[in-house]
This record gives sequence, C-alpha cells and structure tokens, in this order.
Amino acid sequence: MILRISGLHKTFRHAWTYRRIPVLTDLSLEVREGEIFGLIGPNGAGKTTTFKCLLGFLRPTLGRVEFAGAPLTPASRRQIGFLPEQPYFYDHLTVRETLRFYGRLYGMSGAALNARIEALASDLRFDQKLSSPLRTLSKGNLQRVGVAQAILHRPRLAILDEPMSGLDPSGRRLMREIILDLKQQGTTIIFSSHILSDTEVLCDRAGILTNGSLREVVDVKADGAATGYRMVVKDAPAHLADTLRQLAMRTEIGNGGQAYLIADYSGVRAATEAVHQAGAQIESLVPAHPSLEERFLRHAAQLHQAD
Amino acid sequence: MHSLTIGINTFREAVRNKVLYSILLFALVLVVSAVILGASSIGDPIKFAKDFSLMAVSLFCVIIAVALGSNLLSKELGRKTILNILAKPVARSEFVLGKFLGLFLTVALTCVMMSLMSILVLGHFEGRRDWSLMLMAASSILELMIVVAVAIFFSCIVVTPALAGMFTAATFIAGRSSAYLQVFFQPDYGPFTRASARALYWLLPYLDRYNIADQVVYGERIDPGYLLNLGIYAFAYSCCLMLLSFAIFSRREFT
Repeated sequence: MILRISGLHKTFRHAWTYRRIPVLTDLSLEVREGEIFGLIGPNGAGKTTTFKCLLGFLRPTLGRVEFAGAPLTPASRRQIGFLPEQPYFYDHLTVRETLRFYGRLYGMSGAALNARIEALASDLRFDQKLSSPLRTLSKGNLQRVGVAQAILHRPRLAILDEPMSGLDPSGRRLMREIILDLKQQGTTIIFSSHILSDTEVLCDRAGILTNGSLREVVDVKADGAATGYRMVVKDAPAHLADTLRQLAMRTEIGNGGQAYLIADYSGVRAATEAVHQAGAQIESLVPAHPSLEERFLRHAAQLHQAD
Repeated sequence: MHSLTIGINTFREAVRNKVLYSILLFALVLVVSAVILGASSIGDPIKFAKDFSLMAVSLFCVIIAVALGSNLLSKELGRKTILNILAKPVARSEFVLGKFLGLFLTVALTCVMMSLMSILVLGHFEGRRDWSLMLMAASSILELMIVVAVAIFFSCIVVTPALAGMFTAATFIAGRSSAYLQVFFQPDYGPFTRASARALYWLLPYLDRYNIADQVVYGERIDPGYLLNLGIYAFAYSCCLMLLSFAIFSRREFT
C-alpha cells in the first residue's frame, strides 16, 4: 500500500460565527502501489481538501496519513508529484526557467535536469514553447507544463487535481495518454475528477466522495462485481419480448437489439430457452456491472434525499 | 539550498518588475535635482547635495523593501504559486527564508546601484568621486536587512499587503526615532510609562544608529568596529524576526 488515509476529519471555522463546518468526515482510503485511483465527487465534495491534507497545505483536524508505511512528512514529498487544479506559475519566467526552478527544488540540477526537461517537453508536446513566457501559454499548454513539473523527478505517487478540467477533447485525450504512460512507468496515480467517462476508462479503482464522506470504493476493472447478466436479443417477436421483460430486472436499448438485464443465472436459462423456442437470436450475453455513473448518481440521489 | 533557489527566483521576479526601474529612475532624477538644489542653498552646495542624495538612496531603498516585502507572501498566496512550491520537499521555513534572501538581495543591489549613481553624478559636479559615500551604502544595506525581516514578519502575520506595509513603515519610522523613547525613562514619568518606554526601546529595532550620513558627508572617520557592531545587531535582530516568522508561517493553512 503506497498511501493509507485513516479516519481523516477536517473542519473549518466560520470566519464570523466561529461555528465548525465539517469538510471531511472520517475519510479512510488505501491506494495500492502502481494503480490509478480516481476520486470522484460533485463540486464541494472534499476532493481538493483531501489532497491539501495529504500534501500538508491543511492540517487534518483528526486522522492519519501514511506514505509507503510511514507518516507523510515534507521529506516524503520528494517521492510525490502534485498537479494543482489550476496550475499557477510565475508569469515572469519562461517554461524552461519554470521547470528548472521546480527541478532544483526536487534536488535535480545540471545536464540531467536539462535533459529531463527536454524529454518531458517532447513527450508532452510543448517543446516548441520552452522559451515562451508562461503568460503567453494556452490553458492546454499550461496544463502540460503543470504535469511536467509534477513528474519531473519521476515520483512514486502522482496526485493530480482535476487534470482534465478546462481541456478541449484533444487535450483530454492527451492527458489520458499521459496518465496511462505514467502507470506503465510504475507511477501510482491518484486523481480527482467529475468527468465520469474519463474516470471509468482510466481508473483501476475509484472512490465516490460526497459531502466530505467516502461513500464507496468501486473496483472499476473487476469482473466479480457483476450484479447480473445483460442479454441482447435481436428481432424478438412481441410474445418473446413480453416473456423476457417478465424475466428481466429492466430493459434498455443495446447495441444490435433490445438489452435485458437479468438478475441471476436461472433467469438467464429461462430466457435462453424462451429465445430458442421463439427462433430468435441472442446477439450477446455478458455479466452486467453497474456503471460508475449509476453508482455515483445513486449516492448523489441519497445525498439529495437526506438534504 | 532550497532557500537559495527560492531566493534567486524572488530576485529574478523583482528585477523583471518594471516598477522597480521606475523607482530607480525617480531616484536618479532626485539625485540630479539635489545638485541643482544644492547650488541655490546656503553653505557648501556639494555637501548639501551629498546629504540629500544619501537621504534619497536610503529612503527609496526602504520604500522598495516595504513595497515588495509586504506584497511578497500575499502575492504567492493570492496567485496560489505557493502550492507548487510547498508540494515539493521544501520546508515552510525554507520558503520564508528564501523570500527573505531574494528580497534582501534585491534591495541590497538596488542600494549599491543607487549609491554608485550618486557617486558618479556628484563626482561629475565636484570634479572627484567621493567613494566614502559607499560607507553609507554599507550601513543602509545592514539597516535594510532589518527592514526586510520586519516586512516578512508582518506579511506572515497579516494577509492584507497594505496592512503589512503600514506596520513595516511604522516600525521603520519608530525604529529611526527610538532614541527619543529615552526621554520617558526619566523619573518624572509614572512607572507604567517608564516600563512601556523601556519595553518599546528594547523591542524596536534601533535604526537611528544606521544613519551615518552626517559623518560621511563631513568626512569624519568611521570606526570599522562600529560598522561591525551594526552588522552583528542587524544579523541578530533579523534572525530573531525570521525565527518568529517561521513559527507563524508554519501554523498557516492554505485553503
């Protein structure tokens, strides 16, 4: 386990009334070495606050953060890279000067640092901008520079706060490629997002955070989490469609025909026999997983009801 | 090492700031006008011009220190550039020390440049270059070390740069006038007034000692031991303030 958060609480004080405002409540989370972990939640859920507690920008009210089995200290930040939600840089510096500055803070210097900057600029496709002042860069290029400064020192853990935010489709695609490349190089990645499609494509696991509490950790890639079967039937006659509807939990439009979500295997057997008898064709039959979006919306709805 | 990197970046930011050059230009105009004013004054016009120039150099350097120093941390916090730095293996004390070093380097070099400009301009009118004016520059640099530490200290306490600037300027003025507090040591005053005056006298930086303009202008010999004492005092006072700044800044949260 590369990162372990246990019982993290964070409360702020109201500026005038001094009343306690809970922002994080009993957050416990484990991130495994080498995985991509997504922290998803609506705005104000506490994603950025969690990262700020991890990096020491905020002092947790209660709880413990461990990195590689030891309490997280400023020294352990040598193995961590961080991309803020909106990367802020010094306007007076060029891209190269900026990366040299941050590289030196990681203890890098000389030819090795320069070579690393050149390589990253080429990989992240901003090598033409190395001599440009930062104030002249587009949002997409600034985000790339932000990623470069976070992974300059080849960290074990990269924390990316809303890395897709504000990017156009090609920028988002590049960011997805960067994250997957980092994983291939052995870097563990934890990122926050509210773009669920990106999270579903990228993550091994995702934590759903609403109202400062971690509601569920979803094993996005695991097959064992199937909650039924999804059968797509092509050209089903009306009487077969009625039978299948009775056997299914719900129906939806599938690729190549009507999709029936059936709860258990006995239901699948009954549905298969009905299809054979009717002379229709099963287009596909796969285990059904609730999508990340479905799970996320379920938690959001529960929260809405509680309010 | 991190402090040095941050210090160099702070220095680079300051020297790329166009406002600094406007202040330098204004100071040059003032030195030249000192010569013109000196010609119309009673007494030795060159001495008047030297006195006026030294005052201008010292004052402008303090203005730069107060203006840049009180903005330094609030700008980092406002633009959130601090997050990128503190996410690295940099201790908060290293960050504050870096800011101090960068600002001190900026104002010290500004002071040297302005003093050199004064020597060249005055030398043009006097017919010889009076390098003893650099002694005043040395004394001013030591005084600026304290002013920069005060500015950093207040910007660690208060968030608003205007307030930090006001407190720093007030400390500078009070420090330059702290000798007057001795008046309240007399038995004519009540015990509370005497105790308060003594406390303030020891608490405020004794900046009046750094004003050696009269000795320099009138060609009096300045004991190197005196300058050494000024240096030790400036270093010790700045160290105390920086330690307090480290303690305050380490408690700060960045939302």
